[in-house]
Amino acid sequence: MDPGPVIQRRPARALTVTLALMAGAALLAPLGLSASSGLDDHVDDEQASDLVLSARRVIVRPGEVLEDAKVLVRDGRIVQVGADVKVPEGAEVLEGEVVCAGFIDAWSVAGIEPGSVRADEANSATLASDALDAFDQRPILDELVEAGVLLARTQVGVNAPLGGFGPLIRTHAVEPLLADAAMSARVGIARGGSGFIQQVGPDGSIRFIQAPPTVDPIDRVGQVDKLVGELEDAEKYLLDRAEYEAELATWAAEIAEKEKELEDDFKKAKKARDKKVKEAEEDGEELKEKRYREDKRPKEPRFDAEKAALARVVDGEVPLVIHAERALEIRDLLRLTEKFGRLRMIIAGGTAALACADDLAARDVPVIVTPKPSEPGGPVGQLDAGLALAAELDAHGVEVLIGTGASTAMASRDLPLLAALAVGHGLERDAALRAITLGPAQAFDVADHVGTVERGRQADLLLLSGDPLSTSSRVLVAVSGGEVVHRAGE
Amino acid sequence: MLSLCILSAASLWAAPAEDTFALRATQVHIGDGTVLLDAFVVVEGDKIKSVGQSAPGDVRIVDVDGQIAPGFIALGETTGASGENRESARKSTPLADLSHAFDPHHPGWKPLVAQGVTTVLMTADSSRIAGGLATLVSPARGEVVQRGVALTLGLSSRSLSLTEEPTSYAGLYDHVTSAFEGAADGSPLARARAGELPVMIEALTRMEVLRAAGFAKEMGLSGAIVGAPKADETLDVLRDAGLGVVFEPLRPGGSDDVVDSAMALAEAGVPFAFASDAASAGPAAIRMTLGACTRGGLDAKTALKAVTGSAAEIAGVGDTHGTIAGGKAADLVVWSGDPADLTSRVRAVYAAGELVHEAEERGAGR
Repeated sequence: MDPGPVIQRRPARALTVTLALMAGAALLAPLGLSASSGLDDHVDDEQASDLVLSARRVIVRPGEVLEDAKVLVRDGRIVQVGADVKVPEGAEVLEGEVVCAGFIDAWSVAGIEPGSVRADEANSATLASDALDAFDQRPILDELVEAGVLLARTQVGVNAPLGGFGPLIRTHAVEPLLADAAMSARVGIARGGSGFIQQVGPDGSIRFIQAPPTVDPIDRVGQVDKLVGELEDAEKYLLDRAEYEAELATWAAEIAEKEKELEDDFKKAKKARDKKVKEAEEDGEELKEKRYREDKRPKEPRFDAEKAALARVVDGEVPLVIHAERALEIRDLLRLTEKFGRLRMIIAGGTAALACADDLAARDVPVIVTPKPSEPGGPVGQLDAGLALAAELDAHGVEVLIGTGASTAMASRDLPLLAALAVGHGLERDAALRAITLGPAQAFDVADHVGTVERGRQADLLLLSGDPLSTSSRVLVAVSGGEVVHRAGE
Repeated sequence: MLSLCILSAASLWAAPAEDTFALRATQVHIGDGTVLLDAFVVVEGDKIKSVGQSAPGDVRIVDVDGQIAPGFIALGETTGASGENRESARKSTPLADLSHAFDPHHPGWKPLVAQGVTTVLMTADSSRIAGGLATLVSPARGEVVQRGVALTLGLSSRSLSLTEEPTSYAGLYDHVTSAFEGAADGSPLARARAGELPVMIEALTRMEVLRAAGFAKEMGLSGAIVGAPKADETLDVLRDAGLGVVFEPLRPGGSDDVVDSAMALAEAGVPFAFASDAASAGPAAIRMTLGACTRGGLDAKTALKAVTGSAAEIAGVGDTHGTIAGGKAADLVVWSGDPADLTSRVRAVYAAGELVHEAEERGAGR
């Protein structure tokens, strides 16, 4: 079966209304969102590919549950959801306790050829989708699918200051659903930080936290400044391009006007010129003609792939995921990026993000949290909330996403366990489910296609034996792009 | 801001030592795979007095909001030992008492207690052939519970080196065989041969497991293999040797086959338990491993049994620990849901009858 169409970002701007409308129509057609896509309310014609998931609870989106409902899947899409869905003749019916959207790992290296994961030479123009490997990674990807992790936002160059564009992939098909889901960057991270350090609380109590990673302070300032500097350069590049395009348009309009004049009154213009030539000959001179405006074509700024890539980020077209752990870097990033009005920043890691929680919430900056069993789950502090980080950020109004931290591809398999761990340390179940379904779908601009169990969405679904995050329940069936890609016990 | 609080040990220990009270819960997990509904756990001093559908009329009754289970028992932990469990100059120190490596004040203990672990078996470094006698400790109370619980043997490649004998498996087994055969009466090795002292044998590959199990059978040793990858493939040999298995914790993204192995062992009736190894894997690793196993299909009751009743049996302390039964240590944890489920929260931890950890629901202090 067709794994489903690839989504493309709609160009941000710079196109005329007509062009944008045309592009829009061209994009909508393959996504099946036009009127002819079979999304009419009346669905009764039987089709060989029909699939029905039937469950006691269908979680349409976190917090919105339909009891005793069915989901009808046809041609890779969800075409009906509800209690009164009629099962078409010949449809395969699969039953379980719960249906929910497939899990999305917001921070992963799944499907990426391992050598590229730590490619230090990555830059902003790198396309991680070039490093996708559907062959050697197969056994790992199968485990992800079995665990219900059907989508992942992946990246390369996890240690590079800039890792380039990372795709959102279907883990089963290893094909990008969106090739440029996010740009990735990294600041202030260094290795180390093992063991515990002692901290005296405001009430004089002594507690112990895991030692934070260390980095040279000069390097740290340099890393944040360098990233912000590159964003500034990209913004300038963007403005230069915009200026050039405006000048080009003016010039082209002038030329067109001249040409129209010529066309409209060619004879008159020729006569006038001939007269001038004759007069010049009589004076024994050569005619000095007015210089052609063609020569005054505005000069195009030199193309720079890296700046052009970052320009899309500064312009807000593509979100920027920055791996930053400490409060120092996060605070600096928030302060120094405030001037980029359109930039959509996402913090990944954020061990100490709680110290900046209010600013993160005010600026609508989501945080991708990786709950780690190595973190203490007991005392909560401003600098290191440990396993309670996701719950605490959520309570402060920060959008929490859960990701497995781009360490290894196999780590993505444990995404539902990490989400469960966050629930076990205070995060509400709905918020945790959102953090691995709708949350990342929205953050990476694919919420119109995946992330919920709604009519018209692509069918990336799970059928489970119980609550999606309870470790006592199992993934019975996984459906990726409408195709049943896993059945428990097979 | 502080949404979780740990009551200070000092104020708790001031409570009357012989306080008798009963915890009442909708579900009490005994630790042997069974569950009592609407039951009382009566605690007298540091022991459980009784468990059942009723409690004596004169005791204080505490209604708990959640499910009660025995405190988790972690086999294989070196928190705070910082090398004190490793006699680096000698590879065989069977008399070494690991209680000397125990640091009751180490910061690593509190986070472990907050995950529901009330009892820990501190073991010798596994690179020692006979590293010494494991000791049972209570991390919450900072106490040694029982010394000389089990003998730690390292029969893996970690005990071999190029510069120091033994340098080969043959040399390793020559060493342990002569040590066991020549052991003086009453010594740990002789007691292990007599079945009085369980052994914890580290073996890290399939071949090492087969060698170790064969050796244990020949010497008449009882206990468990620690590590035991692909235990599902060595089932018959393990069962034949009468050994259990202690699994190392799963690291996130780890490709170990703990889940498949645990399910195969459960089906075959071979006892198994889990190491916490919190010093390197983190305090929540033991719960994460349980969660991975249940998510993979292991029955939640069997998973709970592995970290309670079975763990106590494997360590040879089943008479005093591991299940909720009259006369056993009052090590109890109140969970918000199923104790083996990773989404459940630890509400309260009792160690030897004392409330040593209590979690407030987040936001309560705001």
